[in-house]
Amino acid sequence: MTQWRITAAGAIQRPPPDDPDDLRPLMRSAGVTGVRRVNRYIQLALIGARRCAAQLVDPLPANCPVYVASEQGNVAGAVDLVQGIMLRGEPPRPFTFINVSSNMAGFYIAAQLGLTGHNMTVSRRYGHLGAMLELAALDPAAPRQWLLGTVAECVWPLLAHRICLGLAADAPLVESSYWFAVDNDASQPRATLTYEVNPHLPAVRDWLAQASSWALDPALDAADHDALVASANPDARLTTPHCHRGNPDTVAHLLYTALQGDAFAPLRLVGRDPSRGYQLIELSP
Amino acid sequence: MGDVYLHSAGVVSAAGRGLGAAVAALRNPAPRPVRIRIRELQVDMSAPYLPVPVATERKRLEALLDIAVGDALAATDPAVRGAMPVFIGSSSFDISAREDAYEPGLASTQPVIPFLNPNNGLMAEQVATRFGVQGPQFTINTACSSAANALLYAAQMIRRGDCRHALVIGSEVGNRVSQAGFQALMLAADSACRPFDINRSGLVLGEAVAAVVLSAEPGVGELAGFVLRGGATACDPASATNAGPVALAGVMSAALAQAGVSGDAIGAVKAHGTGTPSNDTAEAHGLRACFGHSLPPITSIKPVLGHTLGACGLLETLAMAACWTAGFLPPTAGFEQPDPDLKLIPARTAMTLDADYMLLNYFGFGGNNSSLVLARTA
Repeated sequence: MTQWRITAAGAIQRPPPDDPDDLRPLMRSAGVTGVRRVNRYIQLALIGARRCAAQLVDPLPANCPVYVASEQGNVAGAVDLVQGIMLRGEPPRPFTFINVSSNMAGFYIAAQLGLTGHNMTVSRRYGHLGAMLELAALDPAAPRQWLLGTVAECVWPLLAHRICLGLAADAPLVESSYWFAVDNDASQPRATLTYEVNPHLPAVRDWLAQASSWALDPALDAADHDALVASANPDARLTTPHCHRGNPDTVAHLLYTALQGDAFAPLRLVGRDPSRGYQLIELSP
Repeated sequence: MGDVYLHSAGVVSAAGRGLGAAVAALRNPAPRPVRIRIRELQVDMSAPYLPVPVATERKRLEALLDIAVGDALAATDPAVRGAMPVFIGSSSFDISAREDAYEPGLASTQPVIPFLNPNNGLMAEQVATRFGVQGPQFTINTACSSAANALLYAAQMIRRGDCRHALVIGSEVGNRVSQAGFQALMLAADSACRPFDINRSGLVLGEAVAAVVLSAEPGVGELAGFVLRGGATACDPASATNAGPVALAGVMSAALAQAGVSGDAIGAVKAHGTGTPSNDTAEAHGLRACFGHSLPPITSIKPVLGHTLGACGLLETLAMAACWTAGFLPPTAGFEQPDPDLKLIPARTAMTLDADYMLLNYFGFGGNNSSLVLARTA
């Protein structure tokens, strides 16, 4: 089990507009300065990370690492590059190519916040937020502070994005970036997050049954979902408009949303980890 | 904390299949890049390329992964595989397969999407499923330092006692996006890669999949006695594309400190050595700042194996270990005329290598710089 003392959270989360709008006003209002020629994936990450950093009393130390978890990475950029080359016969524009690498989001955040620690981008078929926590816990530099975030973007036209994901034509979508500042030496964190992997469904059911507030990752398979729902207190179930298959960062969304209240009940989340069982995440005041 | 060994490996690279082929190619380098032209482009762009000379009758990414991973796991007890974590370092993931799947649909009148069910973790899951590896999966993308970072984190997992073995993979299979992208950046060489040469004109991309079992137990064969002693990674936020010498010296020094090895003990340096004007200038000055005036012997093996981007951190580490076992430091193919600004002359011919430690550099876009320290204990 790993434990993370969260000192701040920030995010951008919204249903994507029918046509991609200009995010630069949001970047400016978040305090992002001096950034040009970046794609929407990086813009989302910068807005979320800046909003998170703005909540901190003290700035992050220079050696603070940045970890980015993403299921699909810069998928819009990759689609654009492949279609540009193979469909339209166009060579990539230099910055379009450079920025398609998902680690560029962490780079721009590090540059904005003056950070020189590790800059890691990690993915996993299911449970990329859990993968990020596992990787951050391994950080060879053994930091005490981390900036941890997720990014999920859409491909336009949105019909293409839904086709990409195998979703219905009217399925809801979200573009988002959620960020959490962690200081494991903080004496009064806003919340404490614990994370572990458990292979045993009965134990997970027991764990969830004791929750005063709970939610499930939509990526859970149907049988697991039904078994867990059957064991938990239905009145304690937390559902929000962003909990659906069109949002790969539902778990991060739930954590971020819980942190927005002045007081919240401990929240338990179950995520999918097909090779090892289930990811158990608990957020406590 | 205990040592972490390179245990068993599998590679497919421009030299062919296996580390023996890489050693032979690196001892007497005669790289022969092919000329790649992307036929869909409306402009005439072509560049040299070093593909894996292995024909694959089925999906190439899957086939090359299966060769490398199968060879790496061949000496591993199947029972051990069960709990093994999988770390993949890649910059292009499965984009080669996406392009292949997209191609037939281009003639269709129906709109075709090049990415169905996009997921950067899919490749690791598929490899794990095919080989019965059931530990946690991590897909790391830090551009050209991806596989080096995969090694660092996998080693840390073993040192902490979370596992005794870990499968680490570096994968970079030929694709249009990478090839056209580096041409668009004007970083592709005219004909050959010439690291640290005054006439260097750029990099030559290469194709490779490398896999290794990292272990708490000593390795076998050409990897016997090799310990991943330590390393460091850091972000240089000064430039997205151009490494800075101060930051590079910093990450090299941090790697030495983390490994508990002094600069004097380093018997050789495997440079990142891409052959681009900016990388080689920054790396040369960074090496001077780290080592002072007594530079160890330095080489770059990218002219022979190509710049394999996200895979190079593993491919080149394994190839250097195999050459070390064979007793030599490979020459830097293509190097002819020193650049007076660099004050660095890499190995021109194969040199006897009898050292305890080697420093290996891997630098990526996004300021992702990593250095590893490899030790030979037997």
